[in-house]
Amino acid sequence: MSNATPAYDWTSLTGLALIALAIVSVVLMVAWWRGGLRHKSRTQRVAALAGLTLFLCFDLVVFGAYTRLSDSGLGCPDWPGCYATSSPVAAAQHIAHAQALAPEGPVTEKKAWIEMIHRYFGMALGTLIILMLVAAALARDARARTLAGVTLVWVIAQGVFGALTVTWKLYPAIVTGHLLGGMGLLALLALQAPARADDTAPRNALDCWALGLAALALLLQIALGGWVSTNYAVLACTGFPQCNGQWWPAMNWSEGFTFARELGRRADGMPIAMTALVAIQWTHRLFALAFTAAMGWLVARLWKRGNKSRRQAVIILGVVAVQWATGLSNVVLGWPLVAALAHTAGAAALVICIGLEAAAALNSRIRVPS
Amino acid sequence: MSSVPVPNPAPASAQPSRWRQYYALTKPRVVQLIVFCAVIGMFLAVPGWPPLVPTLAATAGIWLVAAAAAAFNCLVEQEIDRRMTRTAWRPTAKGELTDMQALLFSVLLCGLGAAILLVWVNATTLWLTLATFIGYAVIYTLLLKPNTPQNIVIGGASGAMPPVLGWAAMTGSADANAWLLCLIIFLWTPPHFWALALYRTEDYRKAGLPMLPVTHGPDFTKLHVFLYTLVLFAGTLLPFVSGLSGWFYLMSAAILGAMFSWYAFKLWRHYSDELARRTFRFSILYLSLLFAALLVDHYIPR
Repeated sequence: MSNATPAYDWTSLTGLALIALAIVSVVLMVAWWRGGLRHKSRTQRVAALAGLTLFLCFDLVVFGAYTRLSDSGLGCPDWPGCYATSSPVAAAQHIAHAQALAPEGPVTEKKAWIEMIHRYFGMALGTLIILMLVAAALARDARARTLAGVTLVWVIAQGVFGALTVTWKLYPAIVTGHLLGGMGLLALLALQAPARADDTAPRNALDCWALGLAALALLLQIALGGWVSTNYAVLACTGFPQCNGQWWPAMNWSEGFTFARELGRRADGMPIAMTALVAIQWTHRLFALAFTAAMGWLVARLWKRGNKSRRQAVIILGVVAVQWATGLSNVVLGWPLVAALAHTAGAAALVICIGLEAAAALNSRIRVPS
Repeated sequence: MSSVPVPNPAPASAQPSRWRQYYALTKPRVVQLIVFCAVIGMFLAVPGWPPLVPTLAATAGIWLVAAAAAAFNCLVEQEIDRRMTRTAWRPTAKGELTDMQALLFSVLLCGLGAAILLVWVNATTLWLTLATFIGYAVIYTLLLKPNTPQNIVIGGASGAMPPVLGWAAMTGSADANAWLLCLIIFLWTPPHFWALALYRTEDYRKAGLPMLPVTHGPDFTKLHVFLYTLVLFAGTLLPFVSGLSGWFYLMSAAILGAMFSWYAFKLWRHYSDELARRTFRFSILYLSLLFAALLVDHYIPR
């Protein structure tokens, strides 16, 4: 059945666009009703839209993790629609047929819905970013324009990665790239969200270094974590802190960190070795130590700067602790869905924290004349 | 200018001028050249005459989306336009059209063009055309233009897309020859634009745009105009090499290329604003004639 379905079919485009527009309308109406968009200058409105989009993007990253963890990534075998229709309702016959042939998936009714909801909200997010760009273009604020332009290009690339995730059948490097794209989007949106007015004290060079190092460590750790997840290497190491009862297990690094290969395969098409999955898992665990050290330095710097940024410091420290707890739960409790989702949500929250802190640091350097 | 309320004696006669204002927003002359290159792409993509309905639909669709991109550009750049004598007359710069009017006009044109391309042409052309819209209105206008002197070099890629769009409209994909035509326009853009920038340097300086003559001086720019015409000369020979075109095109390209390079050489050695203006005008004639030669050559039996 899936062989007969062409990978790309655009006949559902109008229907999909209408669904996305409906979601955006509801989101904007709620925001308007809550007063988030009224009585604002043009520049403030861009920031308000960015904040709204950031909220939606966080949800989408977590829902994206749920899509992956519930194995719904191929819930609809084509793109952008589901069997060339705009919803699993219209594709019900195709889905029922596929489900009858293979009851465990990849295509089932529930999985098709999860996948399509992810796509609907992704398109709604893209539409909101287009609106944000238009608002920024009208705002005549050079920084807002540049950031909004970069964000639009970024979200388009993210859409392309989303399409490739489906049509390349969960190729690990593409799925990890899609995750990193989502995290990057969070960071970009956090930079544009309404600025914290309370902490405009100038940062010194050491503060900036700590922030930059933390951002780099976070990026690497998310990439490694995504690589663990997309390669299904979560359970390659049982036990904690040791891996399968050893401090230094047998590992095949070159095989584990070959990027141009299909899911569960080596570059030459043979099934991947367990030692490669162990290498992937163990690297993520080892780097967690370096990551925690980098975050610790940032937290120390934030704490030292005074009362205004201590709240930030406590939040970051708390989320890092949550990451240890959920990461450990994944291993010890055998990869429960809640722990895996919370681990992704924690990572996303850290990206937002770092993004907001970077925005505050930028604002403290660039004085905007009021 | 229109900030002082003036009693309007003849409201009926105000109607056509409003249309003209909207029309001016679409940058008609630039868009004509774009559509012309796209149509040539359509003719070259198929042997014989292209089918009527897709050709007309693709022409209309590409024209509408290009016009929408131009209108969006006017909207974004009204502050800059106001500070430059060349563009201060634009309805958005003068405040004759409000932001909302220009925005809705752009959205309407883009939506209409996209719908035409999707219904009567094909999805590939739609995506390529929308990508070109983003490339011009967002990547070039918002990101590159205010930030780097290489703005028109990189941004030229979106201006170079029309032949590829035309080609895709006819065949559903773009083969290597289509990208050759794209390469030619891509290489043509820097000498074309920098010839203009040379005699408008003060304008660009006032507008605060980092055009090459502003950031790197006129001498550096002139040399680069000349060097680009040489690279362009070589690039225009490729359609003959690839077998897309024959001897008639080769001769035309050689003559036109020699003329353009000669203009650029004179510009480099003995600069005058008047010569820069003539070089700029010639560059437009050059591209029109070169693509006309491609078209004529396509219908000469070999």
